[in-house]
Amino acid sequence: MNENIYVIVPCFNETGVIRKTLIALLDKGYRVIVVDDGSKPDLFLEIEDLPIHYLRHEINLGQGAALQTGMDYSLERGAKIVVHFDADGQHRAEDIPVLVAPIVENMADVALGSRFLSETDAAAVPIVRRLVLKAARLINLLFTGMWLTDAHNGLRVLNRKALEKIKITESRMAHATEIIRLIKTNDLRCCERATHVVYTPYSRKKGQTILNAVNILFDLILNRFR
Amino acid sequence: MTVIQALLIAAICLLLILYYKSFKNQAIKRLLFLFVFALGLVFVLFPELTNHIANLLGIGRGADLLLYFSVIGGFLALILIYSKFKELERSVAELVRRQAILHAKIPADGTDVTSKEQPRDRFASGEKNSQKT
Repeated sequence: MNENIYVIVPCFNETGVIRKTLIALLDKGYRVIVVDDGSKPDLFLEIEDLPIHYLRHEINLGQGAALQTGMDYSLERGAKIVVHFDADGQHRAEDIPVLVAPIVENMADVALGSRFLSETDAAAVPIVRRLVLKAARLINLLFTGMWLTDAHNGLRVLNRKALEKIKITESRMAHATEIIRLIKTNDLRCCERATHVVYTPYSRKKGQTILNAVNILFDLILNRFR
Repeated sequence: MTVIQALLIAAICLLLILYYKSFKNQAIKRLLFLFVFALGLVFVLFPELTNHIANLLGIGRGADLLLYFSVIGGFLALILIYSKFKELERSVAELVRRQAILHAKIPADGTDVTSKEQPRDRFASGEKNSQKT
C-alpha cells in the first residue's frame, strides 16, 4: 500500500545526507520524487542508481517551488497521497505512517507533523530554534488565523483533494505559512500529529535562522500586496 | 537661449527618441509620455512658468516643484519596474518547473506501475498538459 504514496523530497546542494534519506524512504516502499532545485553539481550523478523519480530545476527557485513541482508531477501521475519530506535528514521515515493514518481514515485532508506535541521532542529542540518557531507560530496566526503547535515543520501529508487545491506561489521559505493559509481558505480539514525531528549539526546548519525568519516575514507581507 | 537650455532640450529630445525606439506601449501611455516630454520642453524654454505654478501650490521656487514631482515620478518608475521584474521572475519559475516535469527521470526497473511508458511518452503527455493550461 505504500507504493501509492509519493514522497516529495526537495533538495538543494544536499551532498552526502540525501542518499541516506532516500534509501530510508525506499526501504519502506514509498515512491520517491526528488526535486533537485538547481544543485551544483547536478545531484543526479550521486543518486542515479536509486529507483527514484528525478526532477531538476535548471535554476534555483526555492523550496516552495520545488514542492509545487513535485506536487504537479504526482498529480499528473495520479497520486492519492503525497508526503512532503525534508532532504537534510531531520525527518524520520518511520513518522510517515503516523501522518498517513488520519488521511487514510478520512479524518483529515492534510496532516502536519509537529515536534511540540510530545514533551521529550519539544525539549530536544535547541533553545534559539524554539524561540524562532514560537515567533513563527504567531506569524502564522496573524496571516492564517490558525493556531498550530509547530509552525515550520516540513513534514506534511496531503490527500488527493488537498493536492488539487493547494498551489504554492511562495517560491522561497514562506511557503510553510502559505500552505496553512491555503488549507484554511480551501476549507480543508487539517490535523497535527507528533513527529520527531532529528537535530544533527548538518540539519541545524540548513534550518531556519532568525535572519531567515525576517526574510519570510517580508515575503509574506509583499505577497499580500501583489 | 542659455547654454543649459540648449543642453536640456537636447537631452529631452534624446530621451524621447530612446523611449520610442525601445518601448512598444499602448496609446494612452504614449500620449502621457509625450505630454511629460512636452511639459519638460516648455519648462526649459520658459523657466518662470514653474515659479508661477509653484507659487500657486504654495512652494517657494519652481525648481523645488520639479524636484518634488521628479522624486515621486522616480519612485513610481522604480515600483513599476520592480513589479515587471517580479512578473518576469514568476514566468521564468513556471517555465523551469514545466521543464523539470517534462524531463523527469523515471525509475528504470519495475518498481513503478506506470514506469512502462518511456520518457518520450512522458514528454508528449507533458506537452498536451501545457497546451491545455
